[in-house]
Parts: sequence; structure tokens; C-alpha cells
Amino acid sequence: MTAGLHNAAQYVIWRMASLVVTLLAVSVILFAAVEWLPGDPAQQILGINATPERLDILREQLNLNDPVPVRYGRWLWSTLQGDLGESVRTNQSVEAIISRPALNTAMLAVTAFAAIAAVALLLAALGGMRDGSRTSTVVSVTTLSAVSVPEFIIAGILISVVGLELGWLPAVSLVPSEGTPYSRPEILVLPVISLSMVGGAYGARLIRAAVADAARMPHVQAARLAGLRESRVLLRHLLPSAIPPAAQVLAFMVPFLVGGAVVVERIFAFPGLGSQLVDRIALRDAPVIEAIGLIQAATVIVAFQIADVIGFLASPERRTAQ
Amino acid sequence: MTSLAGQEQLSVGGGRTRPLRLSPVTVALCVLLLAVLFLAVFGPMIASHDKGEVVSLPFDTEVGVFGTDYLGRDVLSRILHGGRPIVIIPVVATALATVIGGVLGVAAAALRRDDLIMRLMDVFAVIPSILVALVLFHRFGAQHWVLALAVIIASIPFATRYARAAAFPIIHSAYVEQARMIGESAPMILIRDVAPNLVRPLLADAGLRFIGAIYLVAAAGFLGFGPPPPATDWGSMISENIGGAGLNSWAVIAPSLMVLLMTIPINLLADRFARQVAR
Repeated sequence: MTAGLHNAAQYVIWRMASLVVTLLAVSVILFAAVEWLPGDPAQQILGINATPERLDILREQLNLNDPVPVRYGRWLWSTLQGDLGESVRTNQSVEAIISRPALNTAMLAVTAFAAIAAVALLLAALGGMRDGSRTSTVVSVTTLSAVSVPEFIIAGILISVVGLELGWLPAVSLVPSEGTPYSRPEILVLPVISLSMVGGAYGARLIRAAVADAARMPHVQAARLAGLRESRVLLRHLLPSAIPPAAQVLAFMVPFLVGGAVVVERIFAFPGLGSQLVDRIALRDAPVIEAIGLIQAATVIVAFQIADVIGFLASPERRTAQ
Repeated sequence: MTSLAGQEQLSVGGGRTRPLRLSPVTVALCVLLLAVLFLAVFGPMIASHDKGEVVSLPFDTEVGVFGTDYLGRDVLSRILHGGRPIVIIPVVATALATVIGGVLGVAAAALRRDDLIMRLMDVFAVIPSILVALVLFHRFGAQHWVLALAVIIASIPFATRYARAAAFPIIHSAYVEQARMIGESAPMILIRDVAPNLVRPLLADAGLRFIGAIYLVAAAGFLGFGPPPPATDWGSMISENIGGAGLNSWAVIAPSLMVLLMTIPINLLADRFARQVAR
């Protein structure tokens, strides 16, 4: 696909261009999807007793009478200039509505991502070094079982046992009105465990497979046969080969943490972006929905791009291959 | 977790066919899984109470096998009534997503310029699946086919990517090249030489994707988009009874166990299957 790209600078430029094109395509689909939500926003705001005249005035104010492509263009233009618009419900700026939930979710997601990366890399290294050893089997069975437990079941068990029965940690993750999740870190513990168990176990399995593949490669076997110490084989030969797939796997955790965390957010009553999205879709609050969707999609795209670039940098042969 | 399923076996795709070995563990897992599926499908006929029937006080542990739920309904009966959506929707959705993803993936692997298909998949892969699902629910209501559609849309980008990776080495293998040189037609090559070698890797991938589908259906129930009351599914049961977990823990544990009795055997079976494909 990237035939003809022979140096890193070209590669990065090509990547940036594809990033912009993808984001534009996402924005079109997002706008169309929100447009497609049932119900007339003006009717929703004024209620069923509104007179036709008032509805017309409000539609004119909200620019609802313009054709869809015109409104998409206007929205895209102001979004590009950093203006996300106002909520059609409360007249607050979208920025004011989503900045706190976005910060909360960012803190939860970053913490969970760190936990996932740590668990996944540790277990993968343990299980992948020697394919077929006892440690490898134990890791494999453990991670396979953990992958089978959906996060809402883990969350339910944690809430009822650790939160309610034992009372060790808060069962509800309320963020203090003055401050961030990090100012009460104990509220993050149970949500982070719920999010990182499935993700960590799954990541461990994928990365383990990559490490096991790398361990079978000729140069690694040659290093072992030459009598290099295991730690040296691991650091010099195994890890570099496993970095590109590991980066890919960890990047795949980002859509899960950014969008899929909504169930965990709901269970713990954590005021995050996912919960906000669910609420605003119910309210048909188009500008807020579009802003959240765009932020989530952009985060995922950037994560994928970072993983690709890491993979590219970590394997010099890719620059000339293909 | 839908997004991840299947990445693990990306290196498989060698396309060697060997007879399927059936170890006792594999048979036991199949029997367990079939038992759960049987209970889910025929449960409504065995249940002693109706799904909406109030039999006692809320969270009464003295009544029935698992006590009562938050409205005083029999937990066991509701489990028997609540299996169908969480089993049938993921089965149908996974099958369709695997077929569509398989066709797109093979097309992408066979065509020289596969940029268009794969870039389109990339776009759909980054749109939050929960947003797509919620828009569909609001548009059409949380009916069964809408849930299935949401699962299919969320799965196709990843099913396609996997199928492309699995099909690529087969399509560009020596024997397909030979068949082409002999003068076999393209459809014939696809049916006779490519498809048979794709069945197993795609099935192993479908096993993992099925788990993702169960997650999404259960999550929908959790977010309030389950079947309209008094109908239920196991995911909705966990969420509606979680407040009373301290009074009658079975109301939460029993539906959780049912989900696990389905997801754990499927994951173990898919893993065994994938290993056999790989070796």
C-alpha cells in the first residue's frame, strides 16, 4: 500500500494526510448520523404545545431551515476555528459542557491505559519467553478466563464485595465538585480494575503471541544457541521484535477506553464523556453529540497513528520493504 | 472489546487443513455450551413462573431456587426467559458480520488496489460503536434486529481486516498461482482453492467476535436499551438488581454466571480451534 515511500519524512507526511482525510470522512458520517436522529429539535425544545409561528422562529434561529450540506459546511468551518458552538438545550457553550467530563474520562482512561499496558506487557513477557513452559500455560489459562468476564460483571462483583460488603473502597465514583478524579484517587480504583482486567488480559494474549512468534525467529534461536544469557536475549533480541505488534495491540485499547468505558462509567456513576454522550443523544443535543463523537474518533485515530509510527520506527527494514 | 477480537491469530492464515481432533476437554466444553444454549432457547417453556409474575417480596431469598428480584419476581424463571435475546442476537449478528467481513476481506486481498475498502473500514473502525448503536436505538427503538445491526456495524471493520490478513497468503500462494496458470476461472479458484482454507481461521475469529457481540447486547441492556419490560435478558438482570446485591446476591450472581457459562467455553473452544488451525 505504501509502495514507493522510501524515507521516514515521506512516510510521516503520507500518514498525516491520511489522518486528515479519515477525520474528514468521520465528521461527515457523524454529522449525518446526528442529523438522522428522529424528532424535530425545535419541537423538542419548545414542547408539544408550541405554536407553529414560534417553531418557525426557533428553526430560523437554529438555522434548521438550511439544507444539510450547508449546515455541515458551517459546522465544519466553525469547528476548524475551534468554535464548537452552543448546546441547543441550555445555551451553554459546548466547551463548558464537555470540558469537565472530558477531563474526568481522560484521567480514568490514562490511568486504566497505564494499568493495561503494565499488566499486558508483564504477563506477555512471562508467558511468551518460552512457549509451552508451565508459566506460559498458567498465564494462558488465566488470561483466557479473565478475557471471558465482561467488565460489567467484574464491576458488579467489585461493587457488591469490595464496595458494599467490605466497605474498603467507594462503590460510587463521585468526582468532588471542586477538583478532579486525581484529587480523590480512591474513586478511580474500582473503575480502573474493571476496565483493565479484560483489556490487560486480552492485551497480554495478543502481545504474548507476538513475543512467541519473535522467539521462534532464527536470530533469536541463534542467540540462545550461542549461549547468551536469557535476560540479554530478552532485552536485545526479543523485545525489539515485539515492539511493533505490542504498540498495535495497545492502540486497540484506546477505542475501548474512550468509547466502551461508558458501561463502567454508568455503573460507578462516574461523570465522564461516555455518560454525557448517552444523555445528550437522548436529548437530541446535536452540537454536544458531534463534539464528543469527534473528540473520541480523533483520539482513536491519533492513537492508531502513533502505534503505526512506533512500529515504523522500530523496524528499519519496513522502510525499504514492500 | 469487540474491536480486539481476532487480532491474535493474524499470523495464522497458513491454510493447512488437518482433521479436527476432539479431545475430552473439547467435548466437555461443547456439551456445557450446548446445555446453556438449550436452556436459553427453550427456557421460556420450562420456566415455572411468567417473566412478569410477582411471587413474593423484593429480594426474598426464601422463595424459589435463586430467590426473587427487585420487584419480587422469581429469579430462576426470569433467567429462563432472558436467555433468548442474549444468545440469538449475537449468533445471528456474528454469522452475518463474519460472512460480510469475509467477502470484503477476500476482495481486498485479491484486488491489487485495496486502499478504498481498507480506508473505508478504517473510518468505520474509529467511529465510537456505542454512538452508532445509540443513534440506531433512538431511530428504530431497541428491537432485536436493531441490536443485531449495531453489532454487525461495529464488527465489520475488524472482521474485514482479519479476513484480509488470513486470505492474503492463500490468494498469493503457489497453488493459487498454479490454478490461475492452468486457466481456472476466478470464481472457481475462490470457491475451490481459497474458501476451504479460510473456513477455519474465520470460524476461530467468529468465536472471539461472538463474545464481543454478547458484550454489546448486554451493555445495551445495561444502558437501558434492553427488551421492554417485563421481558429481560441476562445483562439487564444484572443491572436492574445490582442495588439489591447485598439482600439477595443470587439475583446478580445467577445471571452473571449464565453469561460466564457461555463466554468462557466459547473463548476456550475458539482458542483450541485457533491452535489447531495454526499447527
